Amino acid sequence: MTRSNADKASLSASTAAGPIIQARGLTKTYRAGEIDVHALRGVDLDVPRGQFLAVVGPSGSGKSTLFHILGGLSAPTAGTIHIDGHDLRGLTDAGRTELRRKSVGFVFQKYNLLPTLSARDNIEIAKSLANGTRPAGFEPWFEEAIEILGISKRLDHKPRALSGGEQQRVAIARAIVNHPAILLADEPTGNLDTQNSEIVLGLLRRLNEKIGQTILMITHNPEAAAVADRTLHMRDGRIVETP
Amino acid sequence: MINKLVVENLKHRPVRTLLSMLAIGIEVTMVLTLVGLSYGMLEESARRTRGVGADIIVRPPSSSVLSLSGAPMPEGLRKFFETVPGVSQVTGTVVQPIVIPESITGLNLDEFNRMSGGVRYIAGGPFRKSDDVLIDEYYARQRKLKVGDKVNLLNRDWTVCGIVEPGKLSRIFVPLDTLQELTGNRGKLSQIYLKLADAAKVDEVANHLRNGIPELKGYQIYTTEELASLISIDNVPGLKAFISVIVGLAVVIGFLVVFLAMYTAVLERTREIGTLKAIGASPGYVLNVLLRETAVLAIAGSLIGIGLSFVTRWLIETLVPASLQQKVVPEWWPLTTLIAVVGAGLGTLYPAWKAAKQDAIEALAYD
Repeated sequence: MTRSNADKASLSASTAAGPIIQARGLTKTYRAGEIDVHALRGVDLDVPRGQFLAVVGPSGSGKSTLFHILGGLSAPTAGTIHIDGHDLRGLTDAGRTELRRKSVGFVFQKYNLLPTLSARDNIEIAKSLANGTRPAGFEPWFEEAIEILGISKRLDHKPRALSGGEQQRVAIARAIVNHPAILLADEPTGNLDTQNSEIVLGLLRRLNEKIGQTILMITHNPEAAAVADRTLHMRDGRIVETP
Repeated sequence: MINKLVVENLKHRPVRTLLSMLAIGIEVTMVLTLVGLSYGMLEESARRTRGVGADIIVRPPSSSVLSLSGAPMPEGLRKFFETVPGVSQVTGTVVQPIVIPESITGLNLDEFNRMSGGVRYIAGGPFRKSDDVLIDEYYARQRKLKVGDKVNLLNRDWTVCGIVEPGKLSRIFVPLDTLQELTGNRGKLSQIYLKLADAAKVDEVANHLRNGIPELKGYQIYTTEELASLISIDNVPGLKAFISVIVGLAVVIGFLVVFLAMYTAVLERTREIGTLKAIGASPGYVLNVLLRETAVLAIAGSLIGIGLSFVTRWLIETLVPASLQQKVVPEWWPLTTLIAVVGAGLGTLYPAWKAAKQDAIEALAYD
C-alpha cells in the first residue's frame, strides 16, 4: 500500500469509543540557528469526546506548538497521536492536509477570513475543500448553528464589513461546517473587547453543549478558560497540572 | 468555488488587475501591429502591382522582388517588347525611392491609362507641365495636400495637378522624362509592363521571353500574379527573424509583468495562503488558484490587445495612411493569445511555487 493510500486508510478508520484526542510522549524540537529549541518535552493528553478543554500557559510554554501538531500543521519530533481514532504518526503532507479538511476546525486569534470572499463563501470554501465540490447549501444542523452564532443575516457581507466579533463568529462557523472531530481555537478572544469576548465564549460553550463539539481552546485568559469543562496548564513544554 | 475565489481575488485589487491586463494587452498589440503592418504593407504593394493592369513585368537583372535600384534597363527595350507576338501594350516606368517606404514613379500617363484602365481623379487632372505631380488620396491626406499646392520632392518643387484614387502602381507620379532627367537616367527604365492581347496566354508568352530570347537572359520576367505572390513575408530578408525577435520580446514582457504582479500578490496574500492551507487546501490547490488567475489575466489581456490592434490600425490609417498600412490578422489572434499565456504562465511559476510551498504556520504568523 502506498503512503497516500495508507493516509486515507488511517483517516477513514474512525473509532467512536475512547478519547477523541490521545497523545503520548509528544515532543517537538526546533532548530533555531545552531540551537535546539525543545518546544514540547513529552506531552501525554487524553481528551474525551465532547469535552471543552482549555489549555493555558505563558508565552513559550508550548501551547501553540501543541495546537499546530494537533491540527496537523506540523509533525511531532517523537510520540504518538490519535485524533478520532486516526493515527497521525508518519502522516505525509497530503495526509495532514486531508486531516485538516475533514477532522479539524481552526479558529484563530486574528480570525483569518479570506478578505476577498463573503462570509458565506468563506464557509463554503471550507466545505468544498472537504467534499471536493461546491456545496448546494447548508445542512439543517448547520443552519441551526448559524442561528446560534447569530450571523444568518451577515453571510453575504465581506469580512471588511463585519465587526471583529462577527468575523470571529464566521470563523467559528467555518471551523465547524465539516463537523470536525475537534475544534481548535487559538486565543479566540485575543482580538475582541470584553463584550464580544463573552459572546464568542458563550457561543463556543453553546456549540459544545448543543452539537457536542469537542473544543480545545488555547488562551492566556483565566476568565476565558473558566468557560471550559477542564483546564490544562503548560509550562516549558510540559503539562504541569490537571484538575 | 475555486473559480469564485479566482474572480474575487482579481476583483479585490482592480487597479493591479487592470494594469496587468493592459500590460499583457500592449504586448499582444505590439505583436499584432507589427505582423499586421508586415502583411498590410506587402499586400498593399501587391495590390498596387496588380492595379497596373499588366500581364507581365520585366525587371532589371540586379533588382529584388521588393526593391529596384535606379533605372538600368535601356528604354529601347520597350520597342523590342512591342514586337513580341501576343504583346498588345507596353509601358515603362522609372522608380526613384525617396523616404522609405515612399517612392516617386515616373510614367507616360497616356500609356499607363490605356494599360490600367485609367486613373480616377478625385480632384484636378493629368500632367500639364513637366513639374506637375499626381498624388493618391492617402498621400494627399497624410501630407495635407490639395490641387495647386507645391510639394518639395527630390530637392525640387512640384505642383500638385491632381489627386487620384489609390491602388495603382504608386502614390506619387511625375512625368517619365522629367524624372529620367532629374535622376540622370535619360533613356533608362526601372520596370517595363506588358499587356497581352490574350491574357490566357500569359504563361506561354512569359516562358518565351525567359527561354526563347537570348538577349533577355538575366532579366527578371514575372507574370503579374507571380510577382504579387512573391511579395510576402517569406521573401523579405530578415522580416521573419525580426518578427520572431518581437515575439520573443513579447514573451519576456509578459513574463516580467506577470512575475511582478503575482510575486507581489503572493507576498501580500501570505496570510491568506496560510489560512487556505489551514482549512485544507493542498499545495496543488494554491498553485491552481494562482495559475487560473494568471490565465484570466492573460486571456483578458489578449482580448484587450486584439481590441487595441484595431485602435493602432485606426491611428495609422488616420495619421500615416500613405506610409503604413496595417492589416487585421485574425489568424494571429490564437497565436498571440498563446504567447501571452505562455509568457504569463512562466512569470507565475516561481511565485506560485513559492506560495504552494509556503509553510502554513509561518504564513499564518505573517503580518
